[in-house]
Amino acid sequence: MNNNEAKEILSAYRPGGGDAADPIFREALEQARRDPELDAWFKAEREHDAAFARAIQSLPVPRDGKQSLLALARVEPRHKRSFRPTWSVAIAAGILLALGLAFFSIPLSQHEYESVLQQEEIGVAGLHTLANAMEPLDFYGESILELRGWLAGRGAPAPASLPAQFATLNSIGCRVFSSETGPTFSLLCLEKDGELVHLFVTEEATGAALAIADRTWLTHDDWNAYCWSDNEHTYVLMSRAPREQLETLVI
Amino acid sequence: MPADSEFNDLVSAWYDPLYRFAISLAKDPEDAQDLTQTTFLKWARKGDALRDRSKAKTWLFSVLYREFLDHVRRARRYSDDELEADRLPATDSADAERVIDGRTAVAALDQLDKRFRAPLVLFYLESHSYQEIAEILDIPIGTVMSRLRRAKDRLRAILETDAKSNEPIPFPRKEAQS
Repeated sequence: MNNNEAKEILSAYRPGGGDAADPIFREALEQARRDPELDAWFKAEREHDAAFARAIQSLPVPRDGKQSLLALARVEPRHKRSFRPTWSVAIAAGILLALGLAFFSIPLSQHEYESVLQQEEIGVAGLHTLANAMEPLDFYGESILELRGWLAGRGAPAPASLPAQFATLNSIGCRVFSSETGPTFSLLCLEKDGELVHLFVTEEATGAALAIADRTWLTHDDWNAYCWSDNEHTYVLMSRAPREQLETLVI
Repeated sequence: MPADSEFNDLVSAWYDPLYRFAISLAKDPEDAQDLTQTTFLKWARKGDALRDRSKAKTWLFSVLYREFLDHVRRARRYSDDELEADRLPATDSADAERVIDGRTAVAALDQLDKRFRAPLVLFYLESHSYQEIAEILDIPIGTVMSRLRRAKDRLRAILETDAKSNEPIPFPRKEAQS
């Protein structure tokens, strides 16, 4: 092995010494011990490597990204996980029955919900119509993370980050409402303490068409609604649960 | 989806290194965060298919790298972007010195071709052996070594040039009147 070959091998020797036990480096390291010129080059190389490794490893990482991922994953499955997807459907149907909603949920035809989406301004009443007719859901999942993954995989609006308290909600499933000319809304159906909690997600640009005041609690029939936005999406939370209970989710 | 505890463990262990890999490649903090989140979401959906769980780390970095290449193909904008150092996340004053170091590093890496940038960042994250870098980037081991060597030579030259260009311009002295 000449010095040039040794340098190429030693270039892959990690500054923290993680490769000390790897036999491929042994011969090159031995050669560096014997050859002063190679040894000097290797020492300078390691100093440079250590300095640059410190710089890369000190790059600041935004805290909210990891927290929101962990928050999404903290939503524990309501029931033991099964590999058979039919169980998920059965479990979700069970939750809906327990909530007394399965018999009152009216299937909405494509034409009917498109007429909601094509309104010039979509208000709480329009979303209330969609929420009231959420069945059949497109996908039944046992965590918000799973719902998000399904939505993102289909190019539908998917929550980028949610307030940490969403981790306390149980997940039922989701549905995508879209039309050729109108906006697309993803609906995440969640549950807390026996009450359905709906979360509508749409692109932030679409959010401008929503006739719902930002960060203000609204009431329609006996539903409470709250709207907020981040850089990418606009969210509308809707539920019959008491407002004070819902407020803890979005604070 | 893989067990939640495993997912939590992976996020806790690898979110930061993955994000640092992402920002070294993509430069933009939002793009880096998207790449990192997308990587974990892919794990949530497909990680079950990985039989050898000890390969989870390599799987995550490999997915992030492929996602980045897809982004580049779709957007064709990363290579034309100048580093927007101001967009790097602000940190508290205690981190200020480290931020400058990180920015210098990212700015220097930005001047490298991405064929050299990716193995170099993986190397400097120190979590990966050269075999794992080869696996992540899907290139032969010999290529990893030669790219590291060339990338480091080039990086050192870039840093030296940048350091020289940042040296203060000497104030012209008046010759002492005799």
